[in-house]
Amino acid sequence: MNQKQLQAYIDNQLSASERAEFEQTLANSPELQRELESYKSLKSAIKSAGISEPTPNLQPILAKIARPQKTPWLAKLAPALVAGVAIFGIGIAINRATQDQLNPVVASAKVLPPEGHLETKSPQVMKWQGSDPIEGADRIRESFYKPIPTIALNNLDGAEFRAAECGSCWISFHYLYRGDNYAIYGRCENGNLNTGQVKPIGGKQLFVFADAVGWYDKGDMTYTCLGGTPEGRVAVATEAMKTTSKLD
Amino acid sequence: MLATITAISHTVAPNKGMGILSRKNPRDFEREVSPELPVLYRVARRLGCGNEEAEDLVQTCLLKAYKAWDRFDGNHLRSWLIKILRNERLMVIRSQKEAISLDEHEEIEIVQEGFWSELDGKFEAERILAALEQLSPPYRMAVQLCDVEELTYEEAAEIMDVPIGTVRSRLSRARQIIRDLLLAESAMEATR
Repeated sequence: MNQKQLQAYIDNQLSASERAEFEQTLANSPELQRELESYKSLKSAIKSAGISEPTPNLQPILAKIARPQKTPWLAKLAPALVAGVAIFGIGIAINRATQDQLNPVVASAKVLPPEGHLETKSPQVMKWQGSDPIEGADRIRESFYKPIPTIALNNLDGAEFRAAECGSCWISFHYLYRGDNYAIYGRCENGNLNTGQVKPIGGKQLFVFADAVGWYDKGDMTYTCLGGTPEGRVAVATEAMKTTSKLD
Repeated sequence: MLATITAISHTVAPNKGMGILSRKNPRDFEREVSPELPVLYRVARRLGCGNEEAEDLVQTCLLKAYKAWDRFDGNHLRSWLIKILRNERLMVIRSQKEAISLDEHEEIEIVQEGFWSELDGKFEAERILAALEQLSPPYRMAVQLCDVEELTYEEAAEIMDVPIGTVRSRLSRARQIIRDLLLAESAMEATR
């Protein structure tokens, strides 16, 4: 009597004839009977141990995904309005960028902290605080999936990098720029962060999300920008963030 | 500058034009999937995820499942969800190029027969979970799916993309290993 037959018997996987044969052998073997009981106990104990493992409350995540937001007609128009404002903001940004070329913004002069710190904000969110985007990316890389590329956002030259957060399919970078808070938020609909690509844009490496760059409201996903160039998407996100005062 | 800029709501719109068989709506999704959340989390843990990683993986799985909800035939919800979860995990692992292969077979020295009778009724949850963690991924999954989540061999085979006979072999072998690990631990304690 081999182990597979014994296990198959426990799992009711033997045919009628195999079962009859097994039971006949079983009746004449006290050792086999003990072994059978032992495996039955083990199977029962595995089940009990497995389901006894504590699990976090995942209902809010499910609810967020499953419940379509019912918004009044004005709110439905909000994305379009916001996008319109954002596009207007881009014009301002372009104008500002032109001015910046004449009067280049000096990169953040803030002294780097001796060491950023990791903070678990919620079960699925890692938050890093510091001033160096490369270090931020490194921290995320250490704590989450590998590899997450180095990130530099060419639309935010002179911005002070404040923090980064990420989940498996989204990432956000928080900046302070001329007294205003910005958050660049990227989400990969199809896959995880490390399926994103790095592309050289404007002489810098930008983490390009396949699907979207957008902004979010205090950790709550709201809108997603699609289309346009990566720079344009970033600009829309930053300007919309500022215009809509979604952060802080 | 910008070729096209479109702002859309994050919320996925409910499917329209669904046929009689594709009657599911988002409310169905939440109600039906809700009982499976602990299962998904446990399986994510068995797939090698840490606590936070497991939550992330479940979230990604739910997003994928929600989008495919109108195409789900309504049969074997648990195995359907677990398969999505496992595929997502495999994708992450492959992209990470982890050294650990999911098909790797771990050889664990088997202790002598004869000790097992001493363990009757002495299995402790923590020890069993620890033993489970020591199994190689294919064995661990077989135990998790069949013994903990009570899927059939057929469902487990479908999820793991292996023949039913392979599930049977892995399960049998895995239980032996768990038992032997527990026995070995018990024997060590007895000699202290």
